[in-house]
Amino acid sequence: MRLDGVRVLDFGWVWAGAVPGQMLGFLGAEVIKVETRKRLDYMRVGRPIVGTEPDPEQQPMFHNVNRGKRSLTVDFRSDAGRELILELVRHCDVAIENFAPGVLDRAGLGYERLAEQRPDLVMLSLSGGGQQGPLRELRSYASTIAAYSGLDSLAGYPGEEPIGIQQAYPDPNASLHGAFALLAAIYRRNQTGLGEHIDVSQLEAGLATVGEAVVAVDLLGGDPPVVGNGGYGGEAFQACLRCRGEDSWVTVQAEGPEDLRRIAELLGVDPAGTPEAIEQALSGWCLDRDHVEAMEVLQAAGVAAGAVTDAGDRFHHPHYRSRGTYLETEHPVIGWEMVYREPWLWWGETGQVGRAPLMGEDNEYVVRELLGRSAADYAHLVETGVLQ
Amino acid sequence: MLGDVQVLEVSGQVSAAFAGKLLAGFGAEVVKLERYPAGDPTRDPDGPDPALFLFLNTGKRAVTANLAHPDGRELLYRLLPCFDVLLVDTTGLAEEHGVEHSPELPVERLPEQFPRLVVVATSPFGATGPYHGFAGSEHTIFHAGGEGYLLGAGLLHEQFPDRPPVGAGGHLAGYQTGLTAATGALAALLDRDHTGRGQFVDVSAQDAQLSLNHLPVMRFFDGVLETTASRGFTFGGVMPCADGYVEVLPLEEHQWQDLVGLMGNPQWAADERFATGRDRARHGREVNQHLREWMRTRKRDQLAAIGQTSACPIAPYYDVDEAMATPHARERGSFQRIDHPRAGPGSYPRMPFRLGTGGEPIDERPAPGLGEHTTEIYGSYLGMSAAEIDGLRSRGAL
Repeated sequence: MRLDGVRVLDFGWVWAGAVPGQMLGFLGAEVIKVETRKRLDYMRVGRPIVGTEPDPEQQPMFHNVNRGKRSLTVDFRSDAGRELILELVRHCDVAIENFAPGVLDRAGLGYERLAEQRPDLVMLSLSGGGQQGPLRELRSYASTIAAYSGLDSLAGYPGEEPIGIQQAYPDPNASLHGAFALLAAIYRRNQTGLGEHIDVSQLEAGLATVGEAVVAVDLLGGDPPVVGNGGYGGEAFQACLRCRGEDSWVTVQAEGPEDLRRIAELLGVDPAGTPEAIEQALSGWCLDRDHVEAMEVLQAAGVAAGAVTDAGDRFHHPHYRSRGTYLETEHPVIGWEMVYREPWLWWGETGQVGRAPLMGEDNEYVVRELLGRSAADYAHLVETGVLQ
Repeated sequence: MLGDVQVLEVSGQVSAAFAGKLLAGFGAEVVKLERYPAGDPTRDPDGPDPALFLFLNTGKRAVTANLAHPDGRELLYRLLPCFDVLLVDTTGLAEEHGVEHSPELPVERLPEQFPRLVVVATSPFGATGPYHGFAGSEHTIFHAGGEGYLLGAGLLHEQFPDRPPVGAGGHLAGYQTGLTAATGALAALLDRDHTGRGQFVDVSAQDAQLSLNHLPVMRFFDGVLETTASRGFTFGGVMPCADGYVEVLPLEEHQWQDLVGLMGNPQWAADERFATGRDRARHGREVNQHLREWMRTRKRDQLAAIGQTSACPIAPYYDVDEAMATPHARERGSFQRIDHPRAGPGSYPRMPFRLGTGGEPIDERPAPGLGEHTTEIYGSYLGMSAAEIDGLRSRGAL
């Protein structure tokens, strides 16, 4: 596999921090997630699926952003824990963290300290505002970043109060940027032997995905428009139309005269009609049809249409079934479980990736096998609470 | 970082162009091959190139070829062995170039002919499955990916239950697909170092979108189908203040306590109906009424400053120009000036990576003009003389 032989020391947690390590794991790297029971990964917290007691092993979201990883539960703020990590990093190619800036430094495990042990280390530090700048201490959720970066200002119904993007987009967005930068740095390390410390700010990653608005504001002045379901100009029309049934919709994009003609022929109306007239006719046509059916008929006529789908629509749909978008897995604690597969297909195939780890599942592997510590030493680390 | 990587990009949408921009930003040589004579559809044929094109194509060089012309296709075949990566946002190259009656170049077969070539193809629904080949745009892909279904949720949905779901603006689906394609390209290059062989990487914009959509899917597997009526944090969110809006989300207990302290411990907050997080969620609408009342008389930047010093996340709701003007962005150098020969000088987001040891990512070159590097690239890559290139031009092949 692509990253066979690459080992990752992964302090990443919650969502944005967990995904870069998972991406490297998808590509064949061995990823060791460093966890502590003193402060559980937020994704391990929630209501249980089996029984009534809180259980860090029963969180599907955790299972979806930590697939294929190993877990080492260690109190890395203790002296013995820190030593263990410093020893472990010599066996690792990559480190990932998304604590608040300075946290790892204060634990004696910052980039400089780690790179002393492993000079060609490639490390990703990901945080809301980045490692430098007045907002480096910013406490942020994805929604905080969406507001700060201007992402929110583009969403909503034209001419109304803003609504924000109402999703965690800045998390997966920053983590994908982080994974991309890690791969580039691994590529260079393979060529040159040089390590790297990469600083990704979620705020800047958010700004990068409103790049055209940034350029437009500076070159043209004025605020970029809130277009809602409309377009930025050029298209004949684009719309989100009601279909048969409750809360059922289809989106349609008519690029130009060619698309208008296709839609008009499908509906049996005058192809020379105005875009408004054709859109009007189409919205009547959609009311009598199921949203997926409307999409498929329009697509068969060569028109870009997309059913607005909910989680159930997609899960049961033959297209996603056939591409294996969701994988059925067995989890030792909760049993049958669906997870996402990786976002690429290689010659139509997907990689073989294991499940997310139980807490501390790989303590023995890491300490005994990888670091070659004795059984007595291992037992001592467990007794003293260094390994949890 | 990617100084020895050669990328050929044939794109008509945001996704492959953004992937090319990312690779160019880390130093790869990215050559954008545009259809002749119209050029990339995100250009404006009648005026200066729009901001979207200027942003997506920094750091690239540009050539044209007419793939409807046999000599134009021949050019493409001669170029391919010179490149490590082909980025393309369709599964058929000829079709992408608006050619209805010419043979397709099926991109998934290209690595068979060019064994070291990595082909990364983005498409609305992927290269396989019943929807393979379906058309898509930012608008339709965003909504089909599930997040559109849920946008316009919560209070807004209560006020206007009959309105359609709404788009998020910008090109979020395109950017996510491009990022996924760029990581796929690098992964395949790393693989090639082991195997000596390229491969075909299939990136579905839907799959890229769906990976943003984890939470609703997890809840669905848990037996709860999220809708616009049920979606959303039960309190907090975007709130009007005296001179704008703020985003407030006091999810954790200590954040809530901090916020209550900031508000001067009002009496309402001591009500037992708001005692725990669960209680507050149950009475979310009332909590929000109180919060909105308090925010309404205060200034946005004052609230934001409080948000930076307290545990409670309060964020100013910035327009794009305000997001560009922060001291934080200035100090980090989040933006760079790029002088485009036709559009003039302007601010562009810098690649969102700061590097500790290897210098900054490179992306200062402005987006290229249509065919700006045709003579240079065909000369240096294919060893063609100016006369040969002129000959092709006169035959309409480029």
